[in-house]
Amino acid sequence: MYRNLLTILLGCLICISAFLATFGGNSRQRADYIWNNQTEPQTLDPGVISGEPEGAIVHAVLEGLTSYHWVSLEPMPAVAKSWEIEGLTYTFHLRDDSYWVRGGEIFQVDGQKRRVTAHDFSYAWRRHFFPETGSEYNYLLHLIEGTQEYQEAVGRHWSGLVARYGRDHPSVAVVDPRSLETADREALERFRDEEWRRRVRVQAIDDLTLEVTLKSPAPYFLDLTAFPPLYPVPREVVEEHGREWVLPDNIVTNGPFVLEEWRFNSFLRMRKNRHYWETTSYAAQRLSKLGSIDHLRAEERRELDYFQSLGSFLERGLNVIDAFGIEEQNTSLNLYLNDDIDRIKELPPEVTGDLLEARDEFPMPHLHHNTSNAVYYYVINLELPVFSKGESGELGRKLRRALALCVDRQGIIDVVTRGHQKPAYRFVPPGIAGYSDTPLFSSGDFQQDVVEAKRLVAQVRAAGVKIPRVKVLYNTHESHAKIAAFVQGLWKRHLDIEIELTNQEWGVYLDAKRSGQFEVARMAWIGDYADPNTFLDMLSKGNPNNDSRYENPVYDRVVSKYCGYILEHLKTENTRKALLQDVSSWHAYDKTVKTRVRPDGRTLDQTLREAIDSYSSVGDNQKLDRAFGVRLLLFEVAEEMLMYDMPLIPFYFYTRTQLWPPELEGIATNARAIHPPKYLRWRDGERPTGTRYGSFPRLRAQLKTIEKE
Amino acid sequence: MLRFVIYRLIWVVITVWAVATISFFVIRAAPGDPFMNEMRALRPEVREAKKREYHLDRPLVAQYGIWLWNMVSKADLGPSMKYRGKTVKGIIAQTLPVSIALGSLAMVFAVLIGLSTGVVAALRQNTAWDYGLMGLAVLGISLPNFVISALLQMIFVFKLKLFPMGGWVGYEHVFLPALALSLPFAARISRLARVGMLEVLTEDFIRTAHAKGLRERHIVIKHALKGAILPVMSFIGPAFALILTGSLVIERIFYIPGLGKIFIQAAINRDYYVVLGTVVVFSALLCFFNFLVDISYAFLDPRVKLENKQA
Repeated sequence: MYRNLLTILLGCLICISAFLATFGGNSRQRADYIWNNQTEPQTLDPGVISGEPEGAIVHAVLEGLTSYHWVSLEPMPAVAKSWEIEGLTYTFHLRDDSYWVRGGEIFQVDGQKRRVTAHDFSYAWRRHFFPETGSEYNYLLHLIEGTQEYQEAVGRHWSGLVARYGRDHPSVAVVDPRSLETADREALERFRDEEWRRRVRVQAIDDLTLEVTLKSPAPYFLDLTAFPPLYPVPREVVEEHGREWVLPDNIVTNGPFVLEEWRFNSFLRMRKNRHYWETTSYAAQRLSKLGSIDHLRAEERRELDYFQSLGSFLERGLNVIDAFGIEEQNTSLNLYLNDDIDRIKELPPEVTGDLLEARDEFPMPHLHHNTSNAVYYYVINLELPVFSKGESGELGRKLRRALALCVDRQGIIDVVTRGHQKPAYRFVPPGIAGYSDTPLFSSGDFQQDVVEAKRLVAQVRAAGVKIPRVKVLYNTHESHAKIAAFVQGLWKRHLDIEIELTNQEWGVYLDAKRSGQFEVARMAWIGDYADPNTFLDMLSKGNPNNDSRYENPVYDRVVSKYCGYILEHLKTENTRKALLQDVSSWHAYDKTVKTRVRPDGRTLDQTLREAIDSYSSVGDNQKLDRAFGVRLLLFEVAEEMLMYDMPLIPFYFYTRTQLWPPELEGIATNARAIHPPKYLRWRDGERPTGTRYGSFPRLRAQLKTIEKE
Repeated sequence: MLRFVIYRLIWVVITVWAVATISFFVIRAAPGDPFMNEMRALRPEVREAKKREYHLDRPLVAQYGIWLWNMVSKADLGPSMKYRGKTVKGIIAQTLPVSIALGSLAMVFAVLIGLSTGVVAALRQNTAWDYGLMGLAVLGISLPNFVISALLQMIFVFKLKLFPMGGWVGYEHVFLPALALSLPFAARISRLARVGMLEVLTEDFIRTAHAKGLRERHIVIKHALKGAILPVMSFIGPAFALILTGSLVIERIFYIPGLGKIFIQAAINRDYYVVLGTVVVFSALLCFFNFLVDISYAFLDPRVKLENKQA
């Protein structure tokens, strides 16, 4: 009869039952604190992680020797309750009540509670060098004596093993040690453990004492112990589950939070670890102890201040936290305004500019803005003929410099990026203690820079060089395209240089850049730690990230040899002299280093010479500090070389604009936007509810017009 | 009948296989690889180890063989290369249900809205009703998804405060994205239904029915509606696949953990096996829905015979 209607109803019924069957409507409770982590984390394995979203989660579920102070990022006691530094040797004393936890309960091995030991750190660090781990951050550990040799040895051994299996057992795909036969696996582990003991100066003296010796002074090493790639891993779990050890069913952690649920592209839920060592009584005990000491060490003062201002984690810390992976900035902002999430790391650019400007008129306690440790720049392919013209490439250099001068950085910031970024006239972002941040090129006035750029280009053309059309490559993204078009206009108008814009999809772009198939390409670099080395090291010859193929032997020696092994080169009168002589042998030394005035009014050359002289005159206990100082000055010299040769054109230093409610404590802006969840507290112990539109006058005004319409 | 079903099922399998095979070689021909990283280049032995881990060190044809064999014999779609420790099957198992839930609800909305407006427009041809509804349908077809979503959010979230902004937790989170996803399809269905219905309304048997003195409602539901449904039916098959794959924008705007987003993400990341897994799933769904539509045709229209054409 009513066949037609029946069919429709039947179809709808099937659809609705499909919906009901697949929609696992759940009544998950809202977490105490939800932050937008912006994307799905690729892994939580400290041996593999490389990105910020992954690091943010690892800060919650795992814990290193130290952890970052929420404001200054200076090391706070964590698994290590104290440490001593003697020359290049660091001795960490681990606490005896930090346990591994699985599913909220203390992890047990053979009926014993499994403590976090010095061996766990030693193993976690060693694991970075196993080829099958796939670590990207292994080079950070090259600071430690013997690690480079260890990496070579382990790599060779593994390749040999794989080759042997390829001959003897062609059917076995050797993926990790678990795919080997028992005897081979044991031999492999023995080899790796013994090599580590023999070559590398990381020693677990006993379960609770770890001694590490660096090969040369690195002022940032202690900071690094709070960096997620250096966090410990539970060896037995990693060896049993391989790369699946981080999944919620397998994972064993030691951090303040426990991973409870992980839904792909949706959320990660973490709950307070009841077995965490920082109890109320511990805090009270530390407070009374530290309060009675007159001369506190820096880290003890920070600890005292922490317990005084924020209280202990187990008493006042958050109970349930969620990390979301919202990629759409508008959605993220709307969810924040609607009280659905509590912190967003990024705002849509069109809103950022308005809010930052409105900040002057209305107080906006939710808005947090600061400069971050990252730079946006164009890299120039030096293998391109036009950029290497003239005697020893002098004409090419002039052309590159002209291009760099003819970039209206403030214009880009005001018109395109709109986040109050900082114009970059050098490569290393500001904010590194003791490191200069004065501009290294540009007169400070764009019009004057344009005149200079025109003069340089005229010289190049007068020498008979025909400047061809230059291709600028960027990965497909709206803001990169706008910046490129902006620069295209400037270079055409002022220098009469034709630019062709090429955009490529991300993977294609990376491939082109790596293989040198580009002329000028857009790039960005984020510092891994607060030291110029993380920026300057990549321009040394042979570095895989040296996309412009920059080659300057003096630069290489300064960055790798002198800064890398500063103590050796400051040792005797002769080495000091040799160092100075070599550095000043750079052909443009007189034009740059000798005339560069540092913030204190003296030239870089003077400051460097005095610092080296004073090194020999101070006592032994001050020598290390002085060496650090000389090292930073040498980096400044290296950066002079870089900005003189201009293999890359810095555009701006990134800023970060975040939102979080003023009631949230234990969080503050810092250069690397690291906000460990351990320190977070709600002011009155509870999250304030209700929408947040009212706190954003501009947005409120917009909303009102919407409502009126 | 049975013979037709089997014959078509075999074609479904062949089609999915062909799509999978072509995709396998196309994605491998794209520049770049899954281990690219802007920041840090990997050491050679680490790259080698990673390649070996995912069989990328074998010849391409051997890789294809391994992948196909694992899929057919063990239903194993391989590991994800970007999300270490996760398998393609695991990722699809978590995200496909979300897409299906969203898609099936959107389909219900699309059919109900589309058919009812189309029928009304046809019955009131050349009146304000007709022009108004068809005007809306043209808008629905031409407006991009993100505009529709923004409009819906403005009305239902900000003004009426009826639904949450986004997320995928309870039933209240489902309505808006499903509606936003359904509207362009509702618009197409509406136009198809109107045209189909108009054609039938001029047929002799409708005039006969009128002449017999049958009631208007009876004529529409029993006789004329068929004309509206048939063209819609053939649209629904591919539409279902489109709804499932085309939900990317909606998934992003409403923060829904569905399969559409992964489909794109994986292609950008060169996460080979995830790309292939999603392609296989989507093409299988598409073929399957077309197959269902073919069968339902016979059920609706006695003139269509389920026969093997060669027979």
